[in-house]
Amino acid sequence: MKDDRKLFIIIELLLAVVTVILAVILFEEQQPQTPKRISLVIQDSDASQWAALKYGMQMAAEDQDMTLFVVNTSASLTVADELDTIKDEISRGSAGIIVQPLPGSQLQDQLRQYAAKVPLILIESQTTGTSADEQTATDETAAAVSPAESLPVVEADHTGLGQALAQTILSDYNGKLTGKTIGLVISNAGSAAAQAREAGFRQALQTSGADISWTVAETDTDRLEAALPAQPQADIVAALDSRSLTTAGSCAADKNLHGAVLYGIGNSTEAIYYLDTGLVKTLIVPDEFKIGYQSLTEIAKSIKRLLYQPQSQLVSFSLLKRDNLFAKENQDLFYALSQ
Amino acid sequence: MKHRLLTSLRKIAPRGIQTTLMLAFSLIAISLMFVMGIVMYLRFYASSRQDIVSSTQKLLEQSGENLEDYLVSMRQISDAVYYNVIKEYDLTDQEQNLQTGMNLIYEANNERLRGIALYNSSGSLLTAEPVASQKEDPNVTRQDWYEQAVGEMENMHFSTPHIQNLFDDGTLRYYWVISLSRVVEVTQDGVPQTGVLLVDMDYASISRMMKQINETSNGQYYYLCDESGQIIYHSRQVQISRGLYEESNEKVAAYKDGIYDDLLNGVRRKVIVNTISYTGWKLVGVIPQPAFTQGMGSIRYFFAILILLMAMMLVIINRLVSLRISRPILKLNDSVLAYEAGQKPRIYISGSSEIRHLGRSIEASYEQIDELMKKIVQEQTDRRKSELDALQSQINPHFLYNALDSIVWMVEGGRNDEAAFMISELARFFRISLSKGKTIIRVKDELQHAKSYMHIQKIRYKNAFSVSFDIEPDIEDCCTVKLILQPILENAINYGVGDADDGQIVVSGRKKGEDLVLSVQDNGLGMSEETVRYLLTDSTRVRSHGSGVGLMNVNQRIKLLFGPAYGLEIVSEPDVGTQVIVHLPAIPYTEENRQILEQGQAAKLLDRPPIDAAATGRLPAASADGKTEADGKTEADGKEPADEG
Repeated sequence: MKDDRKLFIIIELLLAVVTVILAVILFEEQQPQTPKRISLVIQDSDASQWAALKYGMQMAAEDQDMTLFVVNTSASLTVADELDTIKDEISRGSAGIIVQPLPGSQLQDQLRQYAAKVPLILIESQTTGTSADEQTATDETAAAVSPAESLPVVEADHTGLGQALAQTILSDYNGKLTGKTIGLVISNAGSAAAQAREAGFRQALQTSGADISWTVAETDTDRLEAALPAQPQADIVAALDSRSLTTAGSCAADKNLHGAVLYGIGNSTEAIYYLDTGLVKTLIVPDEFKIGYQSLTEIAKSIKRLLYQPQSQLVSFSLLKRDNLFAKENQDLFYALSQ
Repeated sequence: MKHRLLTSLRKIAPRGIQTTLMLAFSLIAISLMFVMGIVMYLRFYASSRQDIVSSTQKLLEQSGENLEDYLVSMRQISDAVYYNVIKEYDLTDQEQNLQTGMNLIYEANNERLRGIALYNSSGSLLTAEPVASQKEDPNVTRQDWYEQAVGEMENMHFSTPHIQNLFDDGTLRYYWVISLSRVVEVTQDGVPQTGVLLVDMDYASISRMMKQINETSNGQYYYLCDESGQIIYHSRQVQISRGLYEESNEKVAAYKDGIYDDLLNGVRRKVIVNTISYTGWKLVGVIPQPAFTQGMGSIRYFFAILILLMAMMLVIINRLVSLRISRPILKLNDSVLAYEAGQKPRIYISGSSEIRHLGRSIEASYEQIDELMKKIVQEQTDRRKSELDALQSQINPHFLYNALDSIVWMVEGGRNDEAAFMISELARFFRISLSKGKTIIRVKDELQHAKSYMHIQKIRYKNAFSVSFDIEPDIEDCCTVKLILQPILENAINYGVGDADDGQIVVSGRKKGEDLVLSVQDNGLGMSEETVRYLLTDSTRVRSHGSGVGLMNVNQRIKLLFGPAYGLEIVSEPDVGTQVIVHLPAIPYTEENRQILEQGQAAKLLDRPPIDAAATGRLPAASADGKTEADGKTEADGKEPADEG
């Protein structure tokens, strides 16, 4: 009789415990799940060059059930501002941070500290050891920190981009660049990305006989726009990033580039337009959509899986000329850029 | 292994009827509920699945109709431009009118249009709305929409979405359009010529339409492709173009309208296809398998909780039912157990008719058993009494015969005084023997009886032996079975000192603890150890002079009345003598005690197990000589005369 009562109580207790557990799970499931927020910190967040990047991130956020929050920043964003912004985003509950690192010596350590708090991934460029303000435009010695020490980064193959741009020029001139003068235009020259592009470009032209007669490196667009017409005449002008290309394109449209043939790396509709209108001879477009998509996917994986470490990735690029600009294979490139 | 498992299962199997009932009911009920739950869930799942497919199909049809309406309106715009403007005016002298007509139509539909353009057969722009500068050498004739129009002149053609690259509006922007192109007849200088009319529809309109139906969050989505599978709209079209996502658009393009099962990257999906008339475009709805189960998790948990709650209720109900069923049986069982434990409870009679019948049957059986037991006890008592009487009756005839023989012999020898003494002793002897029919008498009387007997025997044996009595006065008022010393003395005379010249018999009595010890010791021939061993136990042994029957008789009577703990003890050594010790309980002689003892209920006075219990073999019964009572009883059955005298 006692055993029977004991059995009865045990069965009832077991059923009650399972019921309570299931009720708690059901209650948890019924609660509206707010997607986790991932913050994007990029310089000049409204610039058209980020359209494809942001679209890629938006698509990845939908696929990963996350919310993308693009922090509104200006072109004059400094390292200190960037760090403050990241700090604010973490305090506002961001589950992950995607950062375009600005050149700066103190950035690396600070980012590392933030990365210990929330998953953090870099885009576009690795961190450098020198601030842009401290860096001279032609300083080739400032190297990016070694990958082993660096934070994960999703970026284009910058050296490859520089080399591809130089190869295109070589190809257009049938390899005969002896006596030709080249001017280089760079914004954010202190960034590891710009340094790698420039290094790749110079390396590819090393034996070509071309003379890189001048280099303009300005972070400020207005100063850059003012500096270009002041440069001596060059046969070729190579712009190594989207902002410098659109600035150079604008100068070319205003006929302030002294008739130089413009080549460049860019990822904005303005850059496309200048190619379409013949102001740019060849345009190399890094796949910003993929940078955005992959970086957010990596950070989302890191948020969802406790032990997952975001992986660095290199993305490809496309080479556009005026005659293949509207080819079918390039239509999707337009689609991402025009979002 | 199987055997061990079965053994283990048997060990844990419930033993109680209530547990068995509760477990059986609960298992059956829970199993049924579990099956019902699964069936209900599957039914609900199938219904929900069907609902999702139906709603998707309806949404697809509705969206298809909207899309068709939109495309029809575009065709109507194209018709309006063609029939109301281009055909109405000569391009040479009425260009302004033509431009105005086109402008009116464009402005009326500018939310949906990106531009209207008219090209001649060589691909030169004749007119366009809105007015914008044409890009340098757009090479119109090599564009798809132009080639399609010229290729099938009788039809209107819808292109896939593409960047409009004909005009430069100076905004540095590029627009996505779907081109509707057709060959038209243009009048120039009164001469009809062939031209191509292009109506560029804003892709954003279709995109918006598709985005609206793609706002579901359960994983299902819709996309639009042309008849060759080329994607017109897909929420992940950039991912698809970069290989980040896969779609079965090319396979689906071959499907007719309907619902199909599809497998993509290991994910099963339902694909619903709806063809847009005229264009041949396919509006496709995709429901991945997880979309069917989304939200079902909560339902699953809800069902599980429901089943568990019902199971809890059922276990309670089952327990109550099993209690109700098993309680009468358990109570009946308890009363039977109590009965078996020696109590005399009332047998439980209640519950269902079957249980009541069972209770009544058991009660009747127990009553019958009680009656039988009482009867057996009475029979045993009667039997014991008759045995006792029979044993006592064996004594008298022998002795009387011998005594009378001695008296005859004395009278014949002229020893009248001795004869008279003997007769008076004989009379006392018989008075005590009779004792008014009592079996239990005082020790004092028994000693007197023994003395009378010895007086008679001494006369008979001419004082060949001496006899002395050493009795503690305290024991004289204790109870004893009558006629126990006489057979012992008789044996002492016959087999001990009867034939000796200096025979000596010492009768002693004393109290030893709670017991009374009477002893008859002689210095006669004595007996071997083996003879002593069988003297009180084996009546079947051949005896040289029939010795021992009287002793066995006495031993039996003592045991019958006082219990197996009492009786005779014989100590003998050849040529030294024999001592027969009588062990009795020291019970004061009162009338009440006498009656109790004579009723065979010595245990009441002795604070020991009842005699009848011992007699029925329920209790261990060690005799004074170490043998069991059963042995004694066997001997008692073999009745022989006490003495051959």
